[in-house]
Amino acid sequence: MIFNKLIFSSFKRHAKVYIPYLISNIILVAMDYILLSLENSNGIKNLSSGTTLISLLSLGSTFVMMISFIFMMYISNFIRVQKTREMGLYSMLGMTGYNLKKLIFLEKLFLFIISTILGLIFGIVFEKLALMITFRLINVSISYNAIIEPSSVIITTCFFMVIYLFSIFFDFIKLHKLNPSELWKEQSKGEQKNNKHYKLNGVLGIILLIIAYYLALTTKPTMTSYSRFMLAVILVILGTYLTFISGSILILNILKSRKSFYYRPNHFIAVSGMIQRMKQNGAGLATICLLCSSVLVILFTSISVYSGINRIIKVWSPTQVSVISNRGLPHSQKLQVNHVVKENGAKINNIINLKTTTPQYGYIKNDKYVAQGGINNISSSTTNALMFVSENDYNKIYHKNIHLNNNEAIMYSPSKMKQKNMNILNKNYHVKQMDNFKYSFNPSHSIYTSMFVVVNKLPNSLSLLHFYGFDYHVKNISNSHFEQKIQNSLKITNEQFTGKGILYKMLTQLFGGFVMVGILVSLTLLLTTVMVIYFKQISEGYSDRRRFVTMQQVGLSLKETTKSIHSQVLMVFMIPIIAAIINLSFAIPAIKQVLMSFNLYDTRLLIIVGFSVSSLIVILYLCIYGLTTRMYHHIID
Amino acid sequence: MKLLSLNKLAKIYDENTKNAVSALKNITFEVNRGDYVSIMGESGAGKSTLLDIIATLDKPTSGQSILNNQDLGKLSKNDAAKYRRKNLGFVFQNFNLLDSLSNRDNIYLPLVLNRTPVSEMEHRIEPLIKSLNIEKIIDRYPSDISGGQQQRIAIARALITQPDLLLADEPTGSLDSNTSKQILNLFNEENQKGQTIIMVTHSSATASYSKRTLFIKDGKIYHDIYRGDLSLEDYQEKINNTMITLTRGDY
Repeated sequence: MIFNKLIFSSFKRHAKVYIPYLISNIILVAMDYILLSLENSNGIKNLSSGTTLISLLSLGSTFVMMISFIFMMYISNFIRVQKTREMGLYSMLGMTGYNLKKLIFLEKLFLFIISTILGLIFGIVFEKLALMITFRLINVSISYNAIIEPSSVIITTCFFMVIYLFSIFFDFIKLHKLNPSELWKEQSKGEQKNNKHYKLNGVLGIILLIIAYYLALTTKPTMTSYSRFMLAVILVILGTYLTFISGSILILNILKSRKSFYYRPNHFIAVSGMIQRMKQNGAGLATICLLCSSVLVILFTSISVYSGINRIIKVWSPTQVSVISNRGLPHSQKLQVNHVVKENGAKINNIINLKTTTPQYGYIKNDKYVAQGGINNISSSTTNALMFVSENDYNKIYHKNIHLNNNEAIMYSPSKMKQKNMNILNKNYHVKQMDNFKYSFNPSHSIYTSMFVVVNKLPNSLSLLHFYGFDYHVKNISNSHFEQKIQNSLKITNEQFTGKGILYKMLTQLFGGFVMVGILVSLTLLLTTVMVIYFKQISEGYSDRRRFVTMQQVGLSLKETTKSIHSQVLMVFMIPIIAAIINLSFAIPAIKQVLMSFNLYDTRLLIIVGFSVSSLIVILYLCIYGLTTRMYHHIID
Repeated sequence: MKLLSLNKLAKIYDENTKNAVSALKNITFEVNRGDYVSIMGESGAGKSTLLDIIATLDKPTSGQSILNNQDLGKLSKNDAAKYRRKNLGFVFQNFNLLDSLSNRDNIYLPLVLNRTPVSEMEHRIEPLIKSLNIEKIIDRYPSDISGGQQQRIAIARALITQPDLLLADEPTGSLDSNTSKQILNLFNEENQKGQTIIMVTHSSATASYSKRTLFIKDGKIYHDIYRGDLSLEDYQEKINNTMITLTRGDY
C-alpha cells in the first residue's frame, strides 16, 4: 500500500507534468482509434471510391501511430528525467532495485489503464462526429450508426501496451545504469559544453536546406517529381535539425561578440539565455518547427486539392458529357443517347464534334517538342500530350475564317507558353499562342497537360481522335445518375466517357477523404506540437528560476524580469514558426507543380489557402505561446 | 560619518493571521562609512530577515532603514531593484553566479542592467581583476572553476558597481577553511580601501575578521561589541564568550 501512496503523492507533486501527459495520451488513443475504426467502417467500405479512401485512411492511421509512438517516448523520457531525483531519494532511503521497478511498473500500469479506457471512450464518442464530417466532406448522405469496432479497440489497446512496455523497459535500463548518488545528481547536471563541431554542423545544415529548397523550387510536374519532393523533405528534416542545433549557436555567438549589441539589458539576458537554451533545446525547437511545417504542408495541400475539384473537372472536359473515340460515334449510338435523353426528359444544348490527332506524349525542350509517341511510350520526363486540330475545325468553333500557311500554327496549353517558333514532329512552325481554347480536354484523364496545335492540315501519319460532347439539363434524376445511364447505353469504358456529375462525385469522395485524413493527422500533429512546447516551457521554467532569482537579487526589477521573459521566450518561440513558414513557402512551388499536374493549380486559390492556413496556425501558435508563457511565469515567480 | 541607520525596525510575517511570526523586534543601530560589521546569531534568529530588509529585498512591517538619507522601505519594488543595482553589492553563500554567462559577463551583469557603456565597464573591471587575482579564470564559465574562485567572481560582481554598502550573506558558508581565509582577507583589503561591509554569519571564526559584531537572538539585538586593537584570535575568543552568555540565557 505504501507504493500506491508514493505513486499518488508523486502524481500530485508532478501534476504540471502528469495532467498534460494524461490528456495527450488520451487524445492519442482516441485519434488512433478513430482512424482505425474509420478504416474498418462499413459505411466507407461501401462507397464507390471506398478502396482508395480506405488506403488513404490506413496511410493516415499508420502515420498517426508512428507519431504516437515517437511522442510517447519523448514525453516518458521527459518524466523520467524529472523523476530521477525522486528515484535517487527512494534508493538512498533503502529501496531495492526490485522495489523501484515495482514502483515504476505500478505507476505505468495505472497510467496505461486510465488513459486507454478514457481514450477509447472519447474515440468511440468522437468517431461518430468524424464520420459525420467525413460524409459531409465527401458529399454523401448515409445514415450510419457508429458502433464500437472491436478489432480497432484491440489493436489500439495492444499498440499502446507495446508503447508502455517500451517506456518501462527504458526506465529499467536507466535504473540499472545509475547508482543512487548519480541518480541524485542527474537533475542538477547542467549542459555539457560539446560545441566543437557546431560550426561545421551549422554550415552543413544550411547547405542541406539550400539543396532541399533548390530541389523543391526546380521540381517539374513529371513522374520523378514525387521522389524528388520526398528527397527534399528528408533533406529539410536533417537540415532543420542541424541548423537549429548548431547554426543558431553560430549566429548567437556572432551576436555575442558584438559588444555594443550584447551588453544591453534585454539582449544580454536573452542572448545568453538563448545560447544555453539552444544547446539544451535546439532539437526541441527543430521538432516544433518540423511539426509546424508538416501541419502547414498537409493542411495546405489537402485544402487546395479539395477546393480545386471544380477546376480539374473543367480542364478534363469542356462539356458535361463527353465521349472520345477513334472512329467517331456511329449513328446508332447517337440514337441511343437521344433515347436516354428523351426518356428522362432532359434538354440538350451545346453539342460539340471535334476531330484531333491522337495525342503525342512528350516534353518541351527549348523550342522543340520532343514527341515520345502514344500513352504506352511515356517516360519520367513526359509532361505534355500534344494534339493537332485542323484549321477547318478551328474556324467552325470560333466562327472565323483563318488561313494558315504550311509553316504556321496556333497553339494552346493550359500552362501558358511563350515560344514564337516551335519544332513539332520535326517540322518548324511560326506559332501564335492562344490564351484560351474553348474545347480543351484531357484525352485519357492523365496528369499530362494537353496542348492543342491548330495547323492548316492534320498530319497524315497520325491517326484521328473524335471528341463528341454536349451539355444538358435534367430535372427528375441526379446528374450523375443520368450520366451513368448514358454511359451504360453506349457500353463504353471510363477512359472514353466523361460525365462531370460522376467525376464530381468521385473526386469529392476521394479528395474529401484526403481532407479528412489531412485534418485528423494535422490535429494529432498540432496536439504533439502543443505538448512539446508545453513541456519545453515548464522544463525551462524550472531551470531558469534560479537564474531570474539571482538577477532580481542583483537588481533586475520585476517589470524588467517580465519584459525580458517575454522577449526571450517570444524570440525563441517565433523562430520555429517563422522557419516553418519559410519551409512552407519553399514547398509551395513544388506542391504547385504536383497540383498543376492534376490540373488543380490556381495561383489565387493557392495564395488564399496558403495565407489562411499560415495565419490560422500562427494565431493558434500565439495562443499556445501565451498560455505556456503564463505557466513559465508562474514557475519563475 | 553615518551611512546606514536602522530605527526601531520590526518585521512580522503573516501579520493578522493565526500564524503570525515576529522575526525582528525593535532593531536600532547605525553603521558608519568604512565600517565592517558582522551580524551573528543562530539560524532562525532573524539575521537573514535583517539583511533582506537592508538589501531592499524585503520591507519592514514598522520602523525605518535609512541608507544615505534614502528610506529604503519607501521604495517601490521596481525602484528598489534599480536602487539595489546602483548602490548595493551582494555576496551570497552559494555564489549565485549565472551558468549561462562567462565569469566576465557575470561581473558585468549589474552594470549591463544599469546600461553602463562598454568602455566604462572594461575600465572598471581592470583593477578588480588584479586585486582579486582572477586573471586566469576571467573568460571561463562558473561551472568550470572552484568554489573559492566562484566567490571571487561574485565579489568582483558586487564591487564593480562601486557600491555604498557591500552585503555578504554567509560568504564562506560553502568554502573550506583555507579558501575562507583567503576570501575574508580580500574583504579586509577592500575594507581598508574604504569599502563599508555588512556580513551575516553564524561562525565566530568568520565574524572575527570584522571590526564590530552584533548579536541577534529572537529578533532582538543583545550585544554590540567592537574589536578595537584585539588580534584575530583574541577577538574570536571574545565573540565566543559573548555567544556563550547569549545561549546560556536559554537555560
